[in-house]
Amino acid sequence: MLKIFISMEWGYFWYKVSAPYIENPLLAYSLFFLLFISVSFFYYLYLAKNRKIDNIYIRKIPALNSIDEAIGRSTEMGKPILYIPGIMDIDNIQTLASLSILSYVSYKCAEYETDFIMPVSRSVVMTVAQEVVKESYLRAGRSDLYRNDMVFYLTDDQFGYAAGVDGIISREKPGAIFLIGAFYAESLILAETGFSAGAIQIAGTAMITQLPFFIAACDYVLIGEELFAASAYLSKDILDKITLKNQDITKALVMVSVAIGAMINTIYSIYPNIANIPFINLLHKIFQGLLIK
Amino acid sequence: MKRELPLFITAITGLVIIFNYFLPEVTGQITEIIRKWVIVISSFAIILGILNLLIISLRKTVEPITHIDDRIANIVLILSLIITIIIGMVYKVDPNYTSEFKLVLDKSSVIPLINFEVQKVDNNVFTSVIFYSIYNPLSAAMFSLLAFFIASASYRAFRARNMEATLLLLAASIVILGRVPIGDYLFGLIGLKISVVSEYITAVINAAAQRAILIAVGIGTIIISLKLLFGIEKSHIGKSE
Repeated sequence: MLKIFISMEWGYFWYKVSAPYIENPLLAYSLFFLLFISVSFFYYLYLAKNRKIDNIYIRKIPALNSIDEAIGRSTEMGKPILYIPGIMDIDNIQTLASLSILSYVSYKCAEYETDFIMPVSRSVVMTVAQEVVKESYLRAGRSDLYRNDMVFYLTDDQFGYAAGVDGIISREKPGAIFLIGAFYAESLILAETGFSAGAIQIAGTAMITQLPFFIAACDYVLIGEELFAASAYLSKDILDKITLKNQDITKALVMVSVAIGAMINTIYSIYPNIANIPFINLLHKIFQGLLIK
Repeated sequence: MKRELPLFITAITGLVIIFNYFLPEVTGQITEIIRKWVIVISSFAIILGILNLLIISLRKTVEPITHIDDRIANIVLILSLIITIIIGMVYKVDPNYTSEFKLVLDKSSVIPLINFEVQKVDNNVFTSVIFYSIYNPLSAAMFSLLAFFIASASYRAFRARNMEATLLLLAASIVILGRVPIGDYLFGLIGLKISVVSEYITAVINAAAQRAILIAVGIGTIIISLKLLFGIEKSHIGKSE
């Protein structure tokens, strides 16, 4: 009796677990990709931890190489650095990626004794950014230069924030401006004001719609995934860097999937009889599911 | 402990949220509780933000080294903040209030026009004065700046300095001409339907490039999330090298 009860409970459990996958088969593809990325992530971590990989080749990213140049230029001109982490909250992955770059930028500012200004539009981001900047100044051995008002809250409102930052740019005339994070319509308002102030501008975002604006108005731009690769690129730690390898392997898998899927679906649309071959039929069914309709 | 505890909390909550995506029936209730906590924490953080803004603005106002422009801006900010809070507390916001006007596509005319449709506005002082008469015009003014900034940025981007910029100029010209009736008329004289070429550029070439960036962004997002979950990325909690 107990056995039947347990088996019924398990049956109900499995029914509940599998229901979303029956309803939306695309969820299974997501799970497969997540598992693939996770397995390769842990595999490369294992290799790096056991010193089986000491160094990896990373292509040059001009926007990240120019950070030192921008801070150096500001220092020579005696002007402050302005850092904008986007307008989204801490739960946005772009904001978190931006905070990783912030750690490096504020560390360099502390080293060069350059003034640092960071207005933020979310109060949670403010508290986290204050910690990051404080820690960077401490790491650089210049905690005496750190002030609490370096990172400050402006407003949650999109255009209110843009107006506030524009005012700061006009009054303070920063030597370098970093626009790194998630941006919406305010991106060009900020970038153009920065351009008119004569600042060297380094931007980075994964927002597709804002990228053209940054490319038009800024000196260097981190395009899409480069924003997420930045922390690994700037880090000296192999554990950080190795994740780029993982990223590339996953991209290769996606590229191969896209190529095979396009090929199979094209052949199928020209010769529908090809579906009689069981292997091709299976491949067609798999890649048919990946098509965005 | 200062670093380990946030990392532990990040890992646990992050894993629960991921599980919820793939197994909503199993972790649904816990995820709901976590989401409620996030709302509560964010609400308290706003108070922190306002206090920070007030303290820094007050300090800048009284400091003798502050420039007069900066001082005026800070005084305006403090006064606006206090007045808005007081009026908001006295009159309260109408919970049904959404926005005063919205953009409506007028399909009745020959050329589709975008019109402003004024919605019914609550007459209390908070919504009608603070929002309708001050906040909305100021926001609209900031947004309208985009039109001029797009023009100046386009001018710089479209200068044919090298091969890439020339291609950009060419593509942009085709797209612009393809979107206006005169483009089809002019190119129709040489037997070319430029709106089709324009559509091809946006729907095929541009869409392909955008999807490539989006896929790479998606992969990057997953990798950085795993780094955060398993404590490899520690910059946000203060990284020590």
